[in-house]
Amino acid sequence: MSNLMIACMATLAYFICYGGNWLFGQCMIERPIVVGTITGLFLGDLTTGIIIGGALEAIYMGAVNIGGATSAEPVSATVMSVTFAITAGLSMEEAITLAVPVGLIFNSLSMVWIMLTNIFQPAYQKVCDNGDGKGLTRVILTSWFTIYFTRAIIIFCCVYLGSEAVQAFMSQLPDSVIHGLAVAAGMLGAVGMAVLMKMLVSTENIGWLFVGFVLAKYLSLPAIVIAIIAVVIAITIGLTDKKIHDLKQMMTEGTPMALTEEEEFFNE
Amino acid sequence: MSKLFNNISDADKKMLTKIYWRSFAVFAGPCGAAYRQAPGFTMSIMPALERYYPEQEKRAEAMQRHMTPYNITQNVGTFAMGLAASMEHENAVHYGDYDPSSIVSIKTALMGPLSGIGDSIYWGIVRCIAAGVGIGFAASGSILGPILFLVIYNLPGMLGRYYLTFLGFSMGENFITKAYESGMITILTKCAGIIGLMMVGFMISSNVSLSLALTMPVSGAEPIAVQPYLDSLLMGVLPLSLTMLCYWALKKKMNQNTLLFVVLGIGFVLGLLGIC
Repeated sequence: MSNLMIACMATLAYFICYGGNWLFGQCMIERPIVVGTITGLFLGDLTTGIIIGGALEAIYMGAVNIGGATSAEPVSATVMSVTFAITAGLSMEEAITLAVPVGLIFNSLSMVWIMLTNIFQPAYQKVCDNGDGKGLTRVILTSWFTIYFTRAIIIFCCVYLGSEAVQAFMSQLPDSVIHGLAVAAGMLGAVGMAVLMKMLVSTENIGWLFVGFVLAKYLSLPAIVIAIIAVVIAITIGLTDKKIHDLKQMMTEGTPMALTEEEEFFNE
Repeated sequence: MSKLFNNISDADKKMLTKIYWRSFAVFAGPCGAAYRQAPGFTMSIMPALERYYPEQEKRAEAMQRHMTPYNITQNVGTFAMGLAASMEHENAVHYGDYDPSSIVSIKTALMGPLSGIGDSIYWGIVRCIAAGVGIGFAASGSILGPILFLVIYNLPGMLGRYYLTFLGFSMGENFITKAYESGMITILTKCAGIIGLMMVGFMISSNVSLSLALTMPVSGAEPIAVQPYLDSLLMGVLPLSLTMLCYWALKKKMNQNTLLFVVLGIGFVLGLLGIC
């Protein structure tokens, strides 16, 4: 594959995953595990794409777009690291460590596009003043295409110009440095997990993390089995809590009240 | 769930289904701080506005009304859309006697509570399970990894999105308040925490790796490696401690990106010096 072809394929993968995600209901095709797969597919090495994508998924578990604020931009990071792993002969570990600075740089660039969306404000105003529903859809699609296409162009330039430089640079590295990168790559997942913990942990539930850890480490249970155990435990605890809650309410209100239609709905 | 559809006519059903499909693109056209996701919301409920306001003037008024900052977790946001549709219907029927500004204020008031529910279900439970299963398969390069990840996440997502459109239309604004009062949401958040954390425990065990390469020199014999001793204490004690340390750093308000670089730097040095 020529350099130009590689850059086109990487850009296409980026556009499909990033743009598609926001056009099709945030269906998670922008997550590293999917982006890696699609980039790998386009560049002819599916397996490498899946493995690197999966590893980056763990690192970027915490980087989700909640309320429009992002901390890193995993899509560009995944596209670049998979592309360079396949075409410039980077090892998995090198590719994964490369992803971190890329994600950070592209996230700070994101600010530019957030500002850019402002240019569509007059157009929106105009279609709403006219009560023009079709026009509204048109402006949204135009804005969508403009944003993700211009972002994709940046990726194209980076891959097209960077490919040889990355290859030349990496071939110079001594073994000890490569080993250092490998150790770092293994440790990075801890950050993603810590961000998730920050979202989920309260003082009374942190123990469950160790249960999941020990089940996986000592019994080598696969994820789906642990998920089933977790769901059963959660439902049992939830039902007990519900009973306690109802009991409390009955005690404060004296006699149980007649159920309204909405309450019946929740009790179903 | 069957009674959900009882008082919904075929025409309503057709309109709500259209809203459901349009809602997928709700975040496709964000616009600055003034509108945020308003264009997407307005576009999603357009079938209702076009049906209830055939007059261009009234329709324009309704569209302008809805161009206020909007943001609710995608898969539950359709509840607000269904609700807005039913309130727009009221407004169209009792035009002049109805205060249309209440539509926007209720929609805005729902953003926090609805996102609270959505975030704990979809980010807390569903995504942790999907990623846990997906990453497990992906590590061996299996295509099942990304496929299962997408299926596990999107199936409940699309179902919830569909039913909530109808629920919002038929149940009205009291539904969410009732849900909070009934204690359901607190319980749900707690359940999300348990499932999410067990999956995080699993992911730490398979996706964080750190082991000591250090050896103790023994005179006249082979040097002794340290790692087996740590393993006999608790397998994976180093990755687990590292994750706890990162969590602690985040709790101490360390920036996530700074932390990524600190870990990257420390890992690199440890590897370079041959400690790990």
